[in-house]
Amino acid sequence: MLDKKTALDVMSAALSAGGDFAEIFVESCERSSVSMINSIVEKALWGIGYGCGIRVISGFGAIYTYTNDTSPENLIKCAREASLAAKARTSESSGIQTTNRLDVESLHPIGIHPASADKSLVVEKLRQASSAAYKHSKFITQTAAGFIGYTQKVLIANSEGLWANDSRTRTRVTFEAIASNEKEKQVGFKGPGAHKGLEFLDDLDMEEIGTECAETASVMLAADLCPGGLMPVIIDNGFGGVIFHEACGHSLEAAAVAVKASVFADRLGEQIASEKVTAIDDGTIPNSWGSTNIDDEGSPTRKNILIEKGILKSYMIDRLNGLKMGMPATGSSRRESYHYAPVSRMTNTYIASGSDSIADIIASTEYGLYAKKMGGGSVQPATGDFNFAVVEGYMVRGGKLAEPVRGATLIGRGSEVLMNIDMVSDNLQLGQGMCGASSGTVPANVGQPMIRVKKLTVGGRR
Amino acid sequence: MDANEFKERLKEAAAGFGFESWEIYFGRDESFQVKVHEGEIQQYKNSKPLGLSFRGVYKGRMGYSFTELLDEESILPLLSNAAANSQIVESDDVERLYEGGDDYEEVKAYDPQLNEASVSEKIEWALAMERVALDEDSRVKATDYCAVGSGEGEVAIANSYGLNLSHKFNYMYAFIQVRVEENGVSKNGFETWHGRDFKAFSPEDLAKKAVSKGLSYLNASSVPSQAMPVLFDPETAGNLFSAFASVFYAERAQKGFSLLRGRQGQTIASELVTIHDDGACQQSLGSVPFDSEGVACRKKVIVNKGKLNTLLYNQKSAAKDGVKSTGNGFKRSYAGSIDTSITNFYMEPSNEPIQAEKFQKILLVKELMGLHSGANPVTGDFSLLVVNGFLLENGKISKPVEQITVAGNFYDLIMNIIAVGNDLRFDMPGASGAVGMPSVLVKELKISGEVQ
Repeated sequence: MLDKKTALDVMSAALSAGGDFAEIFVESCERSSVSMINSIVEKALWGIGYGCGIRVISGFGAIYTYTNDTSPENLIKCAREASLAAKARTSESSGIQTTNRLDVESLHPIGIHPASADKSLVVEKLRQASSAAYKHSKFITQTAAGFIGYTQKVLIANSEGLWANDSRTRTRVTFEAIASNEKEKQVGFKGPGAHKGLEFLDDLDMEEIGTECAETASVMLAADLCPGGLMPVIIDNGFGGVIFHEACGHSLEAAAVAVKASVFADRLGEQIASEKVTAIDDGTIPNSWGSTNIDDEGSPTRKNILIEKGILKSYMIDRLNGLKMGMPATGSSRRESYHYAPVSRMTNTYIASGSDSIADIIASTEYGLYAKKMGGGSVQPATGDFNFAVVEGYMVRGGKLAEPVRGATLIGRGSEVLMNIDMVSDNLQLGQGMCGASSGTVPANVGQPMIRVKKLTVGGRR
Repeated sequence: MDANEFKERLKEAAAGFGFESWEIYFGRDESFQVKVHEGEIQQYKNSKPLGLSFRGVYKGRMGYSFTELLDEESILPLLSNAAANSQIVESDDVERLYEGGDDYEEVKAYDPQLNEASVSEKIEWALAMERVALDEDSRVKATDYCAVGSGEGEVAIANSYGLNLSHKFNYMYAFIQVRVEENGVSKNGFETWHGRDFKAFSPEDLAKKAVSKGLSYLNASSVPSQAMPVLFDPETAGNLFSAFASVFYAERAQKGFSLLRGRQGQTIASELVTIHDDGACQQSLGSVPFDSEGVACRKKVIVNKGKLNTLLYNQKSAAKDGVKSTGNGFKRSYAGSIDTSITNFYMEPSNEPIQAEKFQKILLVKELMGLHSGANPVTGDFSLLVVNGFLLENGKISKPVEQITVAGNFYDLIMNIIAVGNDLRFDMPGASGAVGMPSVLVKELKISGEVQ
């Protein structure tokens, strides 16, 4: 992607006028996608993203510049400009080290590269889900199915001598079934994905996916509006983990912690959650959606225990914010592409299994909401205020699941919810999502077993 | 090789490959941004990305591909993948390239004067914003975001029918988010500026506005759950209408993703509601003469005094309904395919401010959250967190409110607009157009707050 001499020249140029540390990120990404609406293929895309980002760190600040023109002349020119923008060195620069190659054995074997593969198998798979959804319920009026596959090859080199390569191949399908009557529409969604090639599709039961989405949409179509108010909320496993991702995970990212824009800043070793809660961010899970061999600063990814039995153990830290915090990086730096400087992000983040049984959780809830399927959400890291949608919900009455309810959202503050988790079951599952933040949109797994929050504001429409 | 040379090579190769017609779309967007924190540059970003997208009709069907790598080896994969993609597509909707023939309106989207603002001036403005904010009040603890940025770019479209168009634009923006704290509770105040006339930008004013906004939200509390009139300010009305603009896209309606299918000519909103989409709107920064297919972005009335006049069309959805494209066929970037998008989409303001004093109680919404998850354009349902707002009693602020949700349905909401303000304001244009809204007062929405 870039020869060593050019890389060294570029890094020398990047430190020629100012700056303490220089880094190059070269990326080539071949991607392919298909979208199908109502069982008809509407779009098929293919393309190559290619470019290079140069980062210069000086003091606690960073200069980032990127370009598609990777000729040595242009890169050296961009690097010089970056160096001029950097402040005078704050530390004695040790110059450019001779490169130490970092060879990481891939934890994520790949079968068939999805971007260049024949799309007819993909089309067939998407159609299976769509047909199953239409077959399942007469209320299904539309379906939307999508496929995305890509292989991103990266080279990361820095002025401390790092020279690391990685290849990330991901495959994902998304499916949405819409149920309608005269007045309303309701949606059921699934989006399984993995750090795998096209072989990922072999193990997917697309009919089951189609049926499940159709079931969610048609049940919700017939449901009454959810009552609002403060009540116990049971959140199911898998994508239910979005509550932790949004309400707590973002506030444990160094980008928020380093500038104290997080309620969890300066609280290592303190109890921030109920003792039922152990939370982990693990970028090493083989072939998992949010995994990579190395992070986007070239460090091997790790399993980081964030919260252990309620006690805050670690943040997710990138190099620059680590400098500000006086703490080492945790293999958590990520970026969507060479368009972004890397920053601490989540990979596969989950609440670990506990010991409560599902039956006990439901039976011990006199009145509350069971959030079976969650939608997306957002959070303000400074305050921890969050909001997210319940896609499929049921009331719980007298310790039993009762009628389905639609239109609910869960609203609260991360720090309060963590303390209010009073039951955690043992059926941990991960759910795939795309997480957007300052370094772009990256694939991330959320996850948890079934949990109960003893009180949470439910935004309802009744 | 350089972009022009690459385009020429690609044109020759496309004709030879067997494409019946083809189009090359070229995009370039150079941008700069500096973020400061605690008196230092925290982030400085300079970018010069460009890319090229190819589409062409192969054996009667349209295929797409794109590349950011403009070298000899990219030409064949671009053509072969576009050809392969064209044969996978099954839709019977005919997608055609535009043969041209439009008169294009002149739009002011590029001001050479903006180049006079130097990088060091922009850095100084960002630092000044932070300084002023921190000095303004002892309750200001930090600026979470404090940035100044600018950019310029161009879009060029050429096709085998001889269409050859290009459009240049530039812009500058600044934003600041301050964190204020009192009695252990923190609040954010966010303000943004965007424009082309950098001489009109005052870092001091923007910082002071952000601080006073943040302070005004302190000591907020919830309110009991109830139904009441809700006033959206131009920003939050803009947030809400951005989330639901796609209900006006013909493509979405044809596929059953919008409830406005077949409702042209019918009343879909209160008679106070008139909505335009205008490519050449001087008040907005996002003016464009043509869409990503090369069709002129003319001025359209989407909703006229409550009646649905037209949906927004691209070439393909227009052919399906037997009408002309409204010039709303856009791709988000060279890496995408043609979808539908607004240009400058705005609600016509009234001649006078909303008379809040006529109502005993109104919820004034100042900051909304949850638009990604809590607003569903397919169903129209929304349930959004009011991060900050005020309870108005007889038009006067009685208290700041937080931790409440406001819920309803967009299709109902537009029917229930009982007043429209005279304070039209455009958002900073994004990849999918710009929304401009005045304040709007909705007769009644459900609010969830404290349990009684």
